[in-house]
Amino acid sequence: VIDQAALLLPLAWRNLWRNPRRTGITLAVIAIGMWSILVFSIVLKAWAVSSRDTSLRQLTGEGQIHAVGYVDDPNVIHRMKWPSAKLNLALNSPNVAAWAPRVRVPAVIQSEYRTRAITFLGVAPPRERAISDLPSQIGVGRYLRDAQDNGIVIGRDLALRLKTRMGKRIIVMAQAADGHLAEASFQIVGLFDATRPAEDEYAFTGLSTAQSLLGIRGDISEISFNPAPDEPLDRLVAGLRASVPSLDIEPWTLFSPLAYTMESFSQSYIAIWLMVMFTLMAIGIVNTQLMAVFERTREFGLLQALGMRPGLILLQVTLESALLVGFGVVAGVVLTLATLAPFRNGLDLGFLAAGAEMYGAGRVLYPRFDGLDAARSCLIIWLLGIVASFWPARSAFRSDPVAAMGQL
Amino acid sequence: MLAALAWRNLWRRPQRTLLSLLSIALVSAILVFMLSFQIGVYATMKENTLRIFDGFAQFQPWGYADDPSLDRSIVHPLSIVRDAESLWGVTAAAPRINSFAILANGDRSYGAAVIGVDAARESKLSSIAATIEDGRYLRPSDENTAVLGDTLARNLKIGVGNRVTLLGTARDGSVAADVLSVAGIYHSGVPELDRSILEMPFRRAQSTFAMNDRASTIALGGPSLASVNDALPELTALGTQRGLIVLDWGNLEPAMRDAIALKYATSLLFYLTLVVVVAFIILNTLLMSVLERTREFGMLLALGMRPGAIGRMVWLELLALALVGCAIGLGIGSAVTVWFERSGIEFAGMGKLLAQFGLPPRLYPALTFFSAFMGPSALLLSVCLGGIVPYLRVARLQPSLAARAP
Repeated sequence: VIDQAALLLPLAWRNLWRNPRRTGITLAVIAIGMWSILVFSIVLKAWAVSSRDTSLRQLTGEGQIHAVGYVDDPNVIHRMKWPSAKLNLALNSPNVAAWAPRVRVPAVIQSEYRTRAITFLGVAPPRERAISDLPSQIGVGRYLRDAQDNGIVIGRDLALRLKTRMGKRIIVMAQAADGHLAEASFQIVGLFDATRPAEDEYAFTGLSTAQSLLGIRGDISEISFNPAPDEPLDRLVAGLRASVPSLDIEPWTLFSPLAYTMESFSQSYIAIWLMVMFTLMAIGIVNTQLMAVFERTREFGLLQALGMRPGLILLQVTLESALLVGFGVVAGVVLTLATLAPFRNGLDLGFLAAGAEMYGAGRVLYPRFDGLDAARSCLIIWLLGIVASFWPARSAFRSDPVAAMGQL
Repeated sequence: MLAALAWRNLWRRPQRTLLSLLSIALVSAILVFMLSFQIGVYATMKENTLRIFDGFAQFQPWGYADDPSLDRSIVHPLSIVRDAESLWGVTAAAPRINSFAILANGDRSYGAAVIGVDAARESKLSSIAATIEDGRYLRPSDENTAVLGDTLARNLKIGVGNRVTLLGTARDGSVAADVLSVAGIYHSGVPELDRSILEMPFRRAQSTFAMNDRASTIALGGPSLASVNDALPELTALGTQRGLIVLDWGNLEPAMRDAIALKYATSLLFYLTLVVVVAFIILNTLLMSVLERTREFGMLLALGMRPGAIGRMVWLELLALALVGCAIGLGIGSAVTVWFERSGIEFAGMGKLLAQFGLPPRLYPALTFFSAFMGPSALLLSVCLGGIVPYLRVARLQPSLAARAP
């Protein structure tokens, strides 16, 4: 078979170029189909990743560690010790890109005029910056300087609702470790810009300041962490759970159910979409190849009359398809790379301005060409193309030489 | 005559026509189903979420959404409640007092939203009354009772029959303090509500917070979201007379509105690519068949047919193909959708997650005029527009050259 294929290969190649227009159109169908599958799936994935990241980079992070019971009841009594040597080792391993310790308790905030329920957080600013985008979204004033900072940063909308402003003092009340209602006065040093629910909910101060207010010394409520770029989150969570079984370690899916549901739906949409696209491509290929074979009925009759065995004709038609689809697929990949090249450093959706932000995606998408993913799609299309061409090849194979030669 | 010719031409290569039909039908069917599914799920999501607490719309004082304080209030709420309830499509209008207080039980204290509710009206539009896990919901005759979410109760370590102390600020700036006895504990399934809301009798809240004959908001309920949406113009007119504004569902649940808008935007991208790719494949097939039929067209030209007429014939072939394909797709897509409308689609392992958005574990698509015709029409339109390319190609044919084509 190999020898025959070697003999037929140049023949198949030459056949392809006997009708350059037809070959060109088929190539275009395959290349553009391939291109749209790759480009759109990459952009859709980038969009999904971007909208997920935007929501996770607000505060949640990709995973969180708490004392058992905290998630159900975020009370100061459900706190944990500063990371033990073991946990510290795990968190500082190369598998973790960043982590941030926090004190996080429900509290009441009071200005001269208004009272609101909020979530009060004590943070370590340099670590916080690696996990959350809020520190860089300060509209007025500044973010916290260090863990000892005794100023407070609140959302711009919360300031409006409290009828207070930058530089004024507000009172925070929260239940302390010994059960009494601790209260302290803070000066507003900065206002952050975020989504309205976030602006209304969070108020930040230095980690040590919050710890001393609540009387919990070095204890914390939560650790938020992000895995290293090539570390799967599931594996990291499982690893951390194994190293500190006494703590409650959960992925973001538990904390951002809306983002998770949306992502699950997006994934099933992409899967369905890919299946439909593959089917369409297969139909497109069968259609053009069928046409090519019908047109060449006379030629196949002639070849048979000259003594070429029908099996070889089948092989030849299949080879032609394999070559054609193969070239189309490669052209599609080249087109895709060319399309994505200008956006290697991100596709800025600035021109959509508020639109994209309203739709929850970040301003900049990062389309990532995943070689393995692309290779899989290419292989599927190529195999589909070859299988699809069996049908036209079979009609060529079945033709009766005499009748075929008689055809116009 | 051209149409008959075009139709017969289509069936000269039945396999090719069938394959093209298949791809058009497949895409139209998928579009019908997906769009119906989205519409159905979002409608359920909206209705169920709003049914839990918000109501399908709300009357609010001017500026209340931005600054929800007791200073902004609705005076003589009962008269507007009765007017609203007399409107067609509105079955309940529940006045509320929305305040905020620190709840305490022994050494445990939590900040929570304290809502004064009219028990009879409230239970008609909010499902909290139906999700009582322990004890009972408020009764119109109740004086100093309260119901609260299970997480809040657990955090405060209180149960049915216990007392809870409430400390807040009244409308006149004085201290609002009260002691209520817990009548019931609810579990709505929405973590935020279960963690942060206490409901108490409306009249008691009026006196506790110095809100004599006033309410903060009036929540509106009806048989369906659509019926209340239909009543919005009348409600707005009613509100304007009294200096109130009406918030529709999107303004009550902006995060959900934005999430739904985001999903529609992303899925539009899916739908567009499907339409574009199928149109491209169909047009390419047609273009190829046109190139192959040059000789035939030359013959027709020689027989006296005008190039324009041949172009129209080819275009009609495309139109017939697209029409039949879209019709088949519409039929199959609608049939599949109707089937799933009855049986629902189960998302394994997502039940708990879906419950947070008020969604049942089985999701149902909803076939509407829009979802049925939008996809197929877009497809039909783009195929027909794209058909101009082969049309132009044919219309430019030179008889002498065409007839000599191989």
